[in-house]
Amino acid sequence: VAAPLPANETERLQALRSLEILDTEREAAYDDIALLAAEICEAPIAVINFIDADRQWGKAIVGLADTEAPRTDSFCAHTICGEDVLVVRDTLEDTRFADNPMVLDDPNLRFYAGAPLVTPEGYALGTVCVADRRPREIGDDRLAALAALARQVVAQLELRKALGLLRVQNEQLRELDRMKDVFIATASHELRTPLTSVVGFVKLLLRDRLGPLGEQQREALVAVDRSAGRLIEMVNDLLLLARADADHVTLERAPTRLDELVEQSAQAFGPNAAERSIELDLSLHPVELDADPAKLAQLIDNLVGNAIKFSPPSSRVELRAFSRNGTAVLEVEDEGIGIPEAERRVIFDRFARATSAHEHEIGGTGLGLAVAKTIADLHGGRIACDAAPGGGSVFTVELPLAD
Amino acid sequence: MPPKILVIDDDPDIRRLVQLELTGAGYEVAFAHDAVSAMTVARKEQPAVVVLDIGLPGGDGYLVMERFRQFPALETIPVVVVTARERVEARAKSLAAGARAFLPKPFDPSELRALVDELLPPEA
Repeated sequence: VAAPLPANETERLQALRSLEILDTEREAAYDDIALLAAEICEAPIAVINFIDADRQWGKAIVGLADTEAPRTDSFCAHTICGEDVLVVRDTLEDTRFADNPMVLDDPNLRFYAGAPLVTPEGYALGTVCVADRRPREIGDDRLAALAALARQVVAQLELRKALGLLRVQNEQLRELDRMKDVFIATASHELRTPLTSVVGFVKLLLRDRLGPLGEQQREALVAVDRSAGRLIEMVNDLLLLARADADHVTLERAPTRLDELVEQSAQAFGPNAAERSIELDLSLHPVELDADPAKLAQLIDNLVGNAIKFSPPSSRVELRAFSRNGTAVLEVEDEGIGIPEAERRVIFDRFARATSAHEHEIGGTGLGLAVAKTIADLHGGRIACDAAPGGGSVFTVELPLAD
Repeated sequence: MPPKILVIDDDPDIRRLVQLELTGAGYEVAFAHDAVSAMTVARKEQPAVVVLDIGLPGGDGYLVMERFRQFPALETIPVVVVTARERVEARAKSLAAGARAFLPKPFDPSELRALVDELLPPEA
């Protein structure tokens, strides 16, 4: 006799389908519970069954060959109509099962005990059941154990549901991240176009190409030029970071002399250093590595620029380049205001600025070190910040000599 | 006759900027502001050098270069690409499409003029 349908059948089926567990591969967690059910009840057959619209499907099976059977023949379809363990001591003595093909024919079930898998929402999705080929009794202790195993299966199902939700949320977060990258790339491109006009016309004016300039006009335009330059740098930094996030940065690698790049950077920053009587001390050994020279130069510029910016007048900045154990090493050491120890790890985060920078009112975007770290990472290297013996900071970059 | 430079860019301010720089250096400047008119103007003006933006209405700068290559009268004209797009990728694609030089935006106008000077065919 086919079982009646549970009162909440439609919602029950929805809950079952949303778990996406039907017709999945075997899983150890469910296999173990079926095994425990068989052992505890000393039964040759134990199954974790789910009751689908027109079939039962076994997620974990001990002692049977078939994974599914028509719902009309299912013992478990009866079990899910109640909340308690269903026990059939002799199937031939029960009018509901006496003519069941699974009783009359293989596997010739004569005994059945099944505990419903009831979710916290009240849906009986299936059972943990045991069966035997002879009629028998089962004690209350074992029935309680079977019910406990059913609760363990439900706990597994809840975990599965939570994991599914997390996966969906994770995918949504990824999508948001992608949108953010697209936004930054587009914004950067759209910023560069108007900046081309700003910078271009200012350069023309500053060269007196559009007529002679007064001193105050020139001063104003120099300020515009400087500010536009900073804006361009920031746009470039943001674009590099966004592209690095999206894994879109291609390094243009070539044999590159680290020491020569450091020397060029020192020359470029020479006037800034001289302005504040900061001595740039170079200790450079020839180091050739496989790297993107433009990006490496940007990394060096960021570190050297920072060292000068954060140094008091009449102090020293040391730049060292050498190789050590197959690694190219760059050290930039200053006698500046230093970075509190607690902040040294987060200082490479985007927009991070040391509290000491704020206290000394030294401006910046907080992107320079994030870019430096990104460039080091892209080259398979690393960057670190420590306290210098003289009280300032020392930044160490280590890059593999060959890719 | 001063050498003629064709500037293909959809931004009027940048067209004006490049015009001021190049005419100041003794060049004559012609303009196109989209990919379609670029062909017509190029065939009519027969410029000595083309300054080409990538993001254009009616098809990008790569397409313009592709079409140039199909006309014997245009295929040898040196092209310098100027674009605000991401540099590494745009430069590689531009050079592959036949550009002779690449200048990322924003640029110093004198850098552009130097490139045009360099690319100018000796007979022009």
